[in-house]
Amino acid sequence: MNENPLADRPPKNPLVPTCADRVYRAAEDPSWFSEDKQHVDALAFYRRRGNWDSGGISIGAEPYSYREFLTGPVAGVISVHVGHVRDVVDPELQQPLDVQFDNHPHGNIINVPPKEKRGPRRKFADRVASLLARGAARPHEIFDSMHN
Amino acid sequence: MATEERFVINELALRNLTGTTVFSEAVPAMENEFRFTTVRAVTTSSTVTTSPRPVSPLQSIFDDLDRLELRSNYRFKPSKHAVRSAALYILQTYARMGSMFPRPSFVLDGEKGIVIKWERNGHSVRLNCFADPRDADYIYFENDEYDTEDNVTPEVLHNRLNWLLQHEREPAR
Repeated sequence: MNENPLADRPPKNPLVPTCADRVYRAAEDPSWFSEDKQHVDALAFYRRRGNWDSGGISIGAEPYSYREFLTGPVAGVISVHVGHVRDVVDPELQQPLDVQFDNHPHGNIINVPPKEKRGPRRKFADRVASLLARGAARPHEIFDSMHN
Repeated sequence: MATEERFVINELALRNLTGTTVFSEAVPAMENEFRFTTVRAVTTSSTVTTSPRPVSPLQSIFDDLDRLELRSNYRFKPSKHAVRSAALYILQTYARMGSMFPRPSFVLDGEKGIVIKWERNGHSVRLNCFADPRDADYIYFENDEYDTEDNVTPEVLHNRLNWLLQHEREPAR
């Protein structure tokens, strides 16, 4: 038997971050940060319909991972706490939110309801985005001007 | 509220209510009246001066709205319809509330729409102004609970902002 207590721990799955991990989301517009630069707006977590967010809400493993999969300029970087993403609860949420890497360092916040422009599910998407912004996200870095 | 500002608001609101002004006409008129206050001559009974004057709260809000268009990249740049809707909601609701109108901030949705938002003491009101006139704007509001309101009018927005301000005056215990 190996006497090292760490040796019996299952190996970490690189595609599934732990609750203590942080992942990072590119802020595509300066207005996604509050004027006092302390908070992130819910719009950063709206999952758009169509091709943009088909797998979920894009995140990266490191603060500047977005440079590998996003070509446009960004306004800054949002830090997202994985455990707090998993803590988001709402009676309407059929599957819990989670973070998974699909093409490391690219990953997604999965099971986020897509943004609706009408219908009974519309407010639910707003609510989940708000809970993510308030509970799991904070500004990591805000750039002086938009760049990649 | 300055007398001149009140006059312009009343004039625009009246023209809009009576159907003689539509969104596309009201906003350019409003822009003419509000935009270049720092260079406009101020006439009094005895003197004429061209010195800058303080920017009014309403002007300051419209300046923020203008900056949204200037600083945004192509995908986020709000549509003309979204800008006009946002301006008119603010103008008409400000006309009802005057100095009680809480200062909003603006967020871009990445689909050429604008969200006007107000936040106080854990309560928030978000008015979604869509890019396309075929999509109906709506209000999302939340505290511990949440809901939406359709058929957005200045009266609906006024009532919802009063709800927000009431919680500011009477914070939850």
